Amino acid sequence: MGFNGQLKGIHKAYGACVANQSVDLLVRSGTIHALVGENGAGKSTAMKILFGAIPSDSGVIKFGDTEVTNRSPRWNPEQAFRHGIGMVHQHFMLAGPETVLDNLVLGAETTHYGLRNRKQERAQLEELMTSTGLKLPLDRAVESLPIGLQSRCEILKVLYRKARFLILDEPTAVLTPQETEDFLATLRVLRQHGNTILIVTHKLKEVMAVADEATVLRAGSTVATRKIADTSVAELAELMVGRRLQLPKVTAKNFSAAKALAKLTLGAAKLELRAGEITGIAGVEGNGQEELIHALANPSTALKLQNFELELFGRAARHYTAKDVRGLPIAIIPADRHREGLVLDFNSTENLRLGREQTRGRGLFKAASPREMELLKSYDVRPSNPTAISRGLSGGNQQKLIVARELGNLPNDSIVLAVHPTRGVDLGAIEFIHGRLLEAAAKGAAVLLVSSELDELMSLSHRIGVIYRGELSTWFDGSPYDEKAIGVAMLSGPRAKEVRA
Amino acid sequence: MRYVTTTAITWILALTLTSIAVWAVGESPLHVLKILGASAFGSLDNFSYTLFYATPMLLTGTAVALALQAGLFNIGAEGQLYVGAVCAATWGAITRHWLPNVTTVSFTGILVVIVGAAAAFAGGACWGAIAGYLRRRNVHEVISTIMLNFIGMSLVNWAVLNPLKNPDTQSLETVWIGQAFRVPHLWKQMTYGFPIALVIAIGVLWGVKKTWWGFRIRATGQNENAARTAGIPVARTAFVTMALSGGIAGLVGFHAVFLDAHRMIDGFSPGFGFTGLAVALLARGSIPGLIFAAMLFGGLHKGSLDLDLETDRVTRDLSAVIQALILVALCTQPKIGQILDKLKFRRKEAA
Amino acid sequence: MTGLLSFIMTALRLSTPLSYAALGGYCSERSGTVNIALEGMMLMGAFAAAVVAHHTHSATFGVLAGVGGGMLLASLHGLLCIQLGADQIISGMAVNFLALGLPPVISKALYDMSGGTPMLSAHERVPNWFGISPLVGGAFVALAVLVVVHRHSRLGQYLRFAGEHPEALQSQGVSVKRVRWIGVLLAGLLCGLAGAYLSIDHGGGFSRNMTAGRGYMALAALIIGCWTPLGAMLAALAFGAIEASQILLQGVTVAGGFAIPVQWIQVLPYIATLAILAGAAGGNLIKARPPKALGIPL
Repeated sequence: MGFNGQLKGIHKAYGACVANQSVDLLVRSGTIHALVGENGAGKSTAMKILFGAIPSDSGVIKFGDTEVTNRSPRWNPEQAFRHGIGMVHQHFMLAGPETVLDNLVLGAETTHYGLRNRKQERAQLEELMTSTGLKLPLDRAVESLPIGLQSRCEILKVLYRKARFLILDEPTAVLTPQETEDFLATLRVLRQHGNTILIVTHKLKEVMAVADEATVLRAGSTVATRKIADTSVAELAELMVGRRLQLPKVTAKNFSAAKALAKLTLGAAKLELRAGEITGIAGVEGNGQEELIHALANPSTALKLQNFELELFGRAARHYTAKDVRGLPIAIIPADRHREGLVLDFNSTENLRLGREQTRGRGLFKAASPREMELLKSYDVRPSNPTAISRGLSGGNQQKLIVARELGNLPNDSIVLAVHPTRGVDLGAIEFIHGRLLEAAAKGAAVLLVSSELDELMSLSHRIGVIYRGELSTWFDGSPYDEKAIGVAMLSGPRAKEVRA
Repeated sequence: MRYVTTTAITWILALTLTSIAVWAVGESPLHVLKILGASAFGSLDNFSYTLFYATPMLLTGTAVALALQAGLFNIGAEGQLYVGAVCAATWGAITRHWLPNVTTVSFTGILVVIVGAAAAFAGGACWGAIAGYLRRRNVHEVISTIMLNFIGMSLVNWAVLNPLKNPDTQSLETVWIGQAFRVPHLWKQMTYGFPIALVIAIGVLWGVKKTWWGFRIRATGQNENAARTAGIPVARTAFVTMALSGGIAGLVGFHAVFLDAHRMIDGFSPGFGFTGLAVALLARGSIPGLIFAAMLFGGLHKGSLDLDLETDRVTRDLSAVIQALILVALCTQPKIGQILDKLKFRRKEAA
Repeated sequence: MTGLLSFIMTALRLSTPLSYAALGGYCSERSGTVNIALEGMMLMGAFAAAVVAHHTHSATFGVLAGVGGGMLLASLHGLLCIQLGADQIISGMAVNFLALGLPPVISKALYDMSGGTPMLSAHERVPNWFGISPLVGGAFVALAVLVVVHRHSRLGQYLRFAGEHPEALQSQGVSVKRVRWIGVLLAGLLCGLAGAYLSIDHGGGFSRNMTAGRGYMALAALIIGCWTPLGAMLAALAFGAIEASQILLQGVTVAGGFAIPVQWIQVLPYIATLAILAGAAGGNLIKARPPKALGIPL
């Protein structure tokens, strides 16, 4: 029934950039196989080649005993469909305002003279949902569903098209921990039904929880394949990076006497940022982190949505505009570097000056100043050429450019708002950015760190607040943290206290 | 280098398409081109006409180019210049009544003309600002400026028929402005408008590239979110840019009323606002490009007027066709760029 | 009573070209291609219809030619937007310029008259039954067809997804390009009908720039109608009614001998559109959200 999927010696280059050097991968029939690696290791290229979305330069693709490489027309997603191979994309392929039903049957509608037979489609879907146990409200608009159910839509969509071999690209990236649990359970059910699953991810805990085997990619090549029963998170991580990682540790100190540089009361969330301290905010995404940042970074527009109290550097700041806030010594590392961090078609110098253009007056378009050159060097932006267009930089270097702009010219007593500062960047850049945040705090800055990576929060923060449905009431002080307790608080809010006690 | 190549290819394509069109209606492309060239640039008299027509196009081109830098598609220059003209004509009518005794060039006279320019600017700026305001309310500027164009057009039509009607004539035009405020042409047909437009075009585009407010406009245009996060007041920047753009387009109305016809004539603009779009798109933000494109379209306009007389089968409407074909050629630019990149990559690989 | 009836008839007649064009706009924009070229396609359709009706003495061929003319410019728009990935607004402007310039150039070559075609005799125009043209009824048929297509056909499903989430459609092995081509060509077809109605049904020949901005008004109707066939048609009917009331109000004076200027009524649809859109942003008035991928080249 099921079949293997295999890549042998895959090579793929985009121009001068080699994405896949030599990738070997064997996904055995009826198993869950994980393809892991850092950002930029070539995971998604390999996966797209397997699915036929892009052609490889050389190498062999096999499904079962059939080699599909040298076909004409070349191996493409449509052929993959017919072969029973389905793909779930990281960014959902769902049209928000349309119904679940229409989204699920897209491209495989049951029609009679061009007119839809929704009754029959519905019956088939109901049957599929009963047999797999994946239930969905068929008549609701997709955008009204929580993310977890939307990802379920994606799975059902490929199953509806009779896929037996599922390729999943970072499927849990946007899921909450609880949703992730459900999702992994779904995968186990699908395996039970005889499906073969290739899951592409960098979340090693999930790999350990659900996969049978894992293949590790590094710099475009396969470095190892391990049976999950014979390996550990530590070993996989080491294989991914190629060296042992030193994560910084914070020693617990009592900072409560330090001066509070920012005070925010937003509904049931009370937040104080104190000088010299990194305050971590943990929480499942969508529990009020965005509102918190919005209130701090752009109080006057946030005020239109919700009433709150805000004090910055000892002054009432509720009515400050984003511009007023930026007039204070406040650094903001925004959540999405492409959307909010950089103007991608500006060069490094221009991006360093973004938001400070007025103070520079006529000097604006002179070449980079020595100070700016030095910033690019000391923040390890590569290439350090001041006229390099930001679009061409890697994710890690783009993020370092933002950090250079925000932290480079900061006085000691300042506020730093770092939102997912290391999301989607390579481990080297993560290490670097963590170092800079710690350095800023050591110099007396009050740092707010919002992150979905609990490990990051626990290794950097002096204290961690857990935000749950807009409420910021559970606080954990100092290392070592009780990871389990934080996790419980993230899922069930202040009740966690009682659980702990 | 790439800019030059793609632009050159665009031009060749536009020229080829036009030749085919001319040939299709049964005229020799070469003959038509000769007439166009001679009529636009053949003599000093003709050239002064070309500069005369290039003036409003340079203004609207600058207006559209400025908005484009902020990521705004101002296809409302046509409506903005109408409103500018109505304001200028109103001011002209008012001063004619108020200051009947001013008859020779005087300080008052110059002041009146300057206020006329300000009125036209303000009128156009208001029209642009409406689009800017509506954009804040999530109405796309393309949609709002299309609507505002029609409203502006009706406003002109109403003004020449009702409050500002010239009682001495049957044609659709407003009363003349006062004798003392009628600025004569500067050189043959060329008005004072041309040097003014030149200064505005250079000043605006230089400012966009070199100053802090230009930086803000470009940052807003390219990534609104990043600009906002960095502390740039993007809503205000977009609004002010749109108003400024409208104001510059409105100056076309000042040009028509004070520097040229000395009254507002219904239909005085044969689509200057839309030509401005083509001018700005051709120029792609470059100052010489803008001036060159405006002169080209000015020459095209002047030249095509003579086509009626000098050919049997081609009319002045050919200029609209040529404009369309230039836009068509512009539309191929992304594809041309892609193909060039591919060729370059192949060459590199071969080397 | 007869006054009311004649008002309704006038409104219907005036709204017909708007209805066709707005429905055409639906096909194009819903599948992701911005179409400010409705105006040009309509104008070209009007010209082609008048020329062919004049030469063949057949209204039927005239209507077909109108459709052909509309689709010809639609193909240009499609070529630029879909095949070449051009900016859809620039492409639309190009089409509109072309439609403005080509008819006079051609009519000069054909008839040695600049801007128009010779007047058509009665039998060259679309015959009307009891003052109702089949093309007026045809707009309602087109509406009915599109309503069914929109909700209950595979084509409608593809059109909606092509405009909302083209990658989703493509990932299921359906060619988004093909779907968008269908949308744009349908727009050309319907705008061609609108043009034919103007030049050989409502009017007796083509005259320079005879659409006079109706294409843009249709675009406004489409937007107020929230990009649905029924909504677009209702808005088009409302605009037609406003236009008809202009005739009704001609010479009527209010409040002490003040005659309402015709221009004030002319701009009502535009002001209404702006007001409704500005109000809609508050979220209460209508749910005017464009298709997500509208205007984004593939």
